[in-house]
Amino acid sequence: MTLAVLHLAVLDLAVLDLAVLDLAVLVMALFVALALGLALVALGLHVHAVWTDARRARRWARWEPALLDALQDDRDPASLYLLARPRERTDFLRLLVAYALRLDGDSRETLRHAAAPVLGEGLRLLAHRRPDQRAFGIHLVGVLGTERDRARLVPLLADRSPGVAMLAARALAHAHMAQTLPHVLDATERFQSWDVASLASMLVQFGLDAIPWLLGALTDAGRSETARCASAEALRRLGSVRGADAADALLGQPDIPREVAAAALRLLRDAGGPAHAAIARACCDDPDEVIRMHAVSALAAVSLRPEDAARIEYALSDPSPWVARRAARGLVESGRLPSLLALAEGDGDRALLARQALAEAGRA
Amino acid sequence: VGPDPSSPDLAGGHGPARTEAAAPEAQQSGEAWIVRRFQQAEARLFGRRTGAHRTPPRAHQSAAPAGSAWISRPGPAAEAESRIVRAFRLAMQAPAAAGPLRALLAESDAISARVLRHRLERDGLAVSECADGDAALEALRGGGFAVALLDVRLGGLNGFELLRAVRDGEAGAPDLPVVLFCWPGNDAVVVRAFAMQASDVIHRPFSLAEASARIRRLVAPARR
Repeated sequence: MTLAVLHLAVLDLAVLDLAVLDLAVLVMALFVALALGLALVALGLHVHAVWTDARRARRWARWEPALLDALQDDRDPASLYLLARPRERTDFLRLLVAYALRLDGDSRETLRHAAAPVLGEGLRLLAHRRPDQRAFGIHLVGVLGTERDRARLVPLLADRSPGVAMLAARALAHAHMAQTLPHVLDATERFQSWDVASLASMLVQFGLDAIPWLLGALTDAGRSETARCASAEALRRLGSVRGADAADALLGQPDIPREVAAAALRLLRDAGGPAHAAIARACCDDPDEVIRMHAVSALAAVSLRPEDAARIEYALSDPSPWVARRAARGLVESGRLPSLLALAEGDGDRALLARQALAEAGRA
Repeated sequence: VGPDPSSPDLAGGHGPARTEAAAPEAQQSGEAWIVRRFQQAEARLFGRRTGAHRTPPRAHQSAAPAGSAWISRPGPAAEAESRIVRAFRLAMQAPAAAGPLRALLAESDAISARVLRHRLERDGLAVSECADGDAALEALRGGGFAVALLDVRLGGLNGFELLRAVRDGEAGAPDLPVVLFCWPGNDAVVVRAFAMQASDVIHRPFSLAEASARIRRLVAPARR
């Protein structure tokens, strides 16, 4: 009896093992099938990409001789589009963009004339449901469009994709369309992932015509901190003296956000003059070490008065090492070397800082 | 035996149409062999073609240049040989044909290279193209260029290294006009280029008309 029970138990276990084994084989087969399927999809996508590239290369090779002739004024550029069939027009525009990115002046104008009859294709892409296609449309219109065409990029500053919005802003900046700057500044809230330096770099591309709008943004308390800081930085890069005046007035107001005040002091340092020394001097006593740091730099750059040199030397003993370092560098950069050399002769932290600043300037 | 005279390199600038007139069937015969050897030797020794042909193409009969020989077929091999020798002598006596000035274009970007090549050829320059710095160095060592156009971002040796090689006399004539193509926004590149005695610097994106004018200004002394 016992043997019979034991035998049945062994049989049950064997059946159970077989069931588990079947399940494992099934799962493995599913994984293999999935992997094969994914590999086939990847292969298919690769083949499609290679085929698309080859087809585009063939089309470009067909159009390039005529395009080169048009660039030498041997052919009317406005008739080039006739070489491309309707379904080939996107590739035709791609070719024109590829050339336009490398050529300037009259050659760029020739390419714009060549694109004009088919640029509707690019404008149509601006409303495409896919963000990559909208971005491509912005690229086409930004490079090959007229000013009127590019004005149609402004609504894309509010695109649901921040990347597309940023591309639209960059396209407008590249085209120096300063009149669209207020819209771009409104959209800076959406560019939080971009640092202030990148935003300022983009704003600078609008050119000198953008200065009035940048001044307005800097002094507008209703604007975001990012927009105000980027405007101050752009004004600094443009070397705007009016920007320094605006920064002076701004720093005299109460409750300025810390980053905006720091940006205004940097603007004062690079674009200001002796007339702005008073506000820089006042900021040297600010309780915030970031403000003091930039104020000391600004004061060293704009002031010519000997008593300000003494104030900067005093800042070498500031409790914040950052302020003390800026003070030492300020003395070097403003050419107040005798006082720094005298300090370097002594002992203590101030002498150490003075020696370090002199060594960095190659005057040790 | 020199390089194949029917190759585009040797035929370029001296009538590739006349080269094509040496039909394949002529190359099978003994006289074609003589003609071919003559062309090869002449091209190798003197760098230009005398244009020996099996049959005179109608379009060229009235304008056969000095040093050309029309060889009828069938015909005695001795007569063919004498015609070839006479053509050779005439070619030696004739002043060398003024070929186009040569420009070296070392450009890593294919589209820029195509645009520049097209423009320079239109301006009457024969363009030798290199896609990397090592090939450009070899070409420069071969000499014979009126101007070198170098991309500063070439693969292998970059534009600055090639410029130094030229000015140090390691590649071609030290006084060869050299133009560097660079991207704007970095003044240090321009300063460095002129410090290394670059003849000119052209910023990208460039105006084709302006680039052409600058290059023509540099090759003008060689044209004179």
